[in-house]
Amino acid sequence: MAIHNRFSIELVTRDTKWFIVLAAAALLLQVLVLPHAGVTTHLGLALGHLFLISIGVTFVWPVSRRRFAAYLAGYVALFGLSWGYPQKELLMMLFALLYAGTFHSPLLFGIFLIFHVSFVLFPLYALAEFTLGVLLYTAFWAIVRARQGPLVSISFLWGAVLVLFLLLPIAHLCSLATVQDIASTWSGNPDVRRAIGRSVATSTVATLVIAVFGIPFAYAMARAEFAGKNLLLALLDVPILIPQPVIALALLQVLGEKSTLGHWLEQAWGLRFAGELPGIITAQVVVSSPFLVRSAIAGFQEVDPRLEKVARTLGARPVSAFRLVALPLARRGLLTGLILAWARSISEFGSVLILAEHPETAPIMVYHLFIRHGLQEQTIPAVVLLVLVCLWIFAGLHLMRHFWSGGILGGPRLGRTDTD
Amino acid sequence: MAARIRIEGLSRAWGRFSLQQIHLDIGAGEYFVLLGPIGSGKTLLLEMLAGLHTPQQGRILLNGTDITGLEPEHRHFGLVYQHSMLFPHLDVQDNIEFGLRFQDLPGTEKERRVRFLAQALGLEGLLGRRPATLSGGERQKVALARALAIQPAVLLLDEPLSPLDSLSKEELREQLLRLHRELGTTTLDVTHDQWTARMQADRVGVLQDGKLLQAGPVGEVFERPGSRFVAEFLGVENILDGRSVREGRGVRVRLASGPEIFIEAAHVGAVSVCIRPERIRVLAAPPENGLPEPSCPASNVLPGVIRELSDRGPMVRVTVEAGATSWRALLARDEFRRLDRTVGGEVHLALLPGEIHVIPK
Repeated sequence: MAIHNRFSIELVTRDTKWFIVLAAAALLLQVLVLPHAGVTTHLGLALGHLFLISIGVTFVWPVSRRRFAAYLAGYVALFGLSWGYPQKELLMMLFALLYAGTFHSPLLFGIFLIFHVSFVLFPLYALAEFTLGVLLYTAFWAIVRARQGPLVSISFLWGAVLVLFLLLPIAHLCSLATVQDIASTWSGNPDVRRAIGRSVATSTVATLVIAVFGIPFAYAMARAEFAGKNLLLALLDVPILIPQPVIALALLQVLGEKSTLGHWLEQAWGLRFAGELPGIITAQVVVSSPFLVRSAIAGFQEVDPRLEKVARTLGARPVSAFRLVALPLARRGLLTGLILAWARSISEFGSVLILAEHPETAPIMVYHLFIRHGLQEQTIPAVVLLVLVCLWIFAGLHLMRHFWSGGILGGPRLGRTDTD
Repeated sequence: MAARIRIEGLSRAWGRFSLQQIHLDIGAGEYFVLLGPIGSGKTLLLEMLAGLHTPQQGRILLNGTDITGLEPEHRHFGLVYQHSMLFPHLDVQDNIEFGLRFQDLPGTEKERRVRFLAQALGLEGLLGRRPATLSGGERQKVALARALAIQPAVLLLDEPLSPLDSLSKEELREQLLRLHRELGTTTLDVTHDQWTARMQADRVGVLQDGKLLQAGPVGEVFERPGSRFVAEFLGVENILDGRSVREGRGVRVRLASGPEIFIEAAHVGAVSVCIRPERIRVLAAPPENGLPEPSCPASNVLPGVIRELSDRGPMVRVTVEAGATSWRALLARDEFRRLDRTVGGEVHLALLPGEIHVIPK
């Protein structure tokens, strides 16, 4: 088996010279074969070539030059085939499988197989199947290659069923709407735009509110030991347990116009909850807080209290020691908590529906669209747009967390490193 | 600059454990080593001095001023933990400079201090590195530099050498002592390692179960331990119970195991007899013309058989069975070669009256 513990990027950079030569040759060949194709076609095809060449350079080149020459010949043949029989996908895929198998590249082989299965055999959910399939397969391949034992590999395969089940519907949903649909929904439907904006804004405010109160609370819970601490921690999870409409009813009882507190809040501060933005934010705060608090407690517990003690002896006041030592070292847990709280806030539906159906947040807008139109053309692009906005912000937050919480530092656990 | 510390009756309980009535004086510029087994309360005492715990009783005086209630950030005591406790999110330079950000110093002075400490501890090449990439020895050096950068009144060390391998331990020990000579910072070092005390200390104290058993100059505490525990902890391997009666310039002790030996000491009654293993003379044959030293009476020479040998690097530990007692002696390698005996060989032990210490029971 020509399996190499080297990553393609590493090899490609090392053999950059050859890589460039091969890519240039492929492009030249392609321009000669398809002289009338447009620039975009050439660009798209060139990307495909680069992928195949990089795989060739990675897996076949270091083994032997003869094998690489064979790979190159097969590549040219495949190239010709795709040019001659552009419609005959099945035939082409079989050749591709054969080709990948010949060169003992299990990764390439598997990817071709998944492509084959998803686009030729089950074309209904093709794009979603292929994307998730390649993702899971690549992970599986890495696990097998790292020789972590059959139990780990089989457990992964077993669990992959769950992951597929979780992600396939959403991935499929996303593949249903075209980019044009989404763009026209965004530009042509101000209600959708406003609802999504409202959701993003309210959940951001809710997250900030949770952070302001939750982070100090989590710090205290991580440092203090007292009787009943475990009970208090367990009670924190109650908002997760209770059905969301019940939470909304409970909030209405306390904050509604007829309640004493609600009346006072309206008189003194002009705050109204039922059917207003503060109501939405309150509901979001209640259901999301446990996520931040839990995660932040874990984050602070990772920071050795002696680090703060040392900071104190060096001249830091307690607040400075917290700001300069505990806070930055717990940032991984804190950011995870903030992201989870934000995600939970934006997805909250049940309690918001009762507390403040209007103004519409995005989940409620989706619900209304479905009630009015069912699974029709108006619904899908709006839903996909919502999913995409959420995913983009979610991904952005995770990227930020990765930067701040020491992806750059490398170490997986930071608080307690000094153990020899 | 060097400060003196006085601890008066310091007490505090933590659940079952408590520090009880600690009295201690540490002179200006002194290197004081507090010895104690694990769990004796050394670290808690150190943290209390740093202001991280409030005592329930007693006072801490710094140059005569009561600082018992002073917050840690106002004490300027440098603290180095056993596991260096560097700030993992800061690089070496920022770690060393951490305490300086709370002091109103010109930039050139900060730079000067960092440069001086980095040079003294050999950290020049590491200033941009993160703690996670440093070796154990390097981390301890950075922790030491960080504590010294604030020019502390007192340096508190919690066994900074103990997690290190022997090579880096010796290197850091030398640098630590050199810095102590140059800066003259009053230092309190707590450890369970008697060698740290012997090599580094001006004075030592012994702590057990939250109580300070004995304190004094190194030679005195090691040679004249005040209790059986102190003697055992400081490496006196031959401790025997007996009863003494006055005789001439000293006492004659009848050991519980049989032999009677003469000791230059004053205690009469039930005693424990302590002889450090390196103080026992091991002879191949009974001394023919007289004794190894004029002061050694014949009753202090005991015949015995070697039961065990153990290699201790430059030394050899010999276990000799004499009568009902096992004696442990440490011989230099040369001496052992001249002795020319192995396990089962017959030897004579000479116990010099002046090198035996007696603890009243």
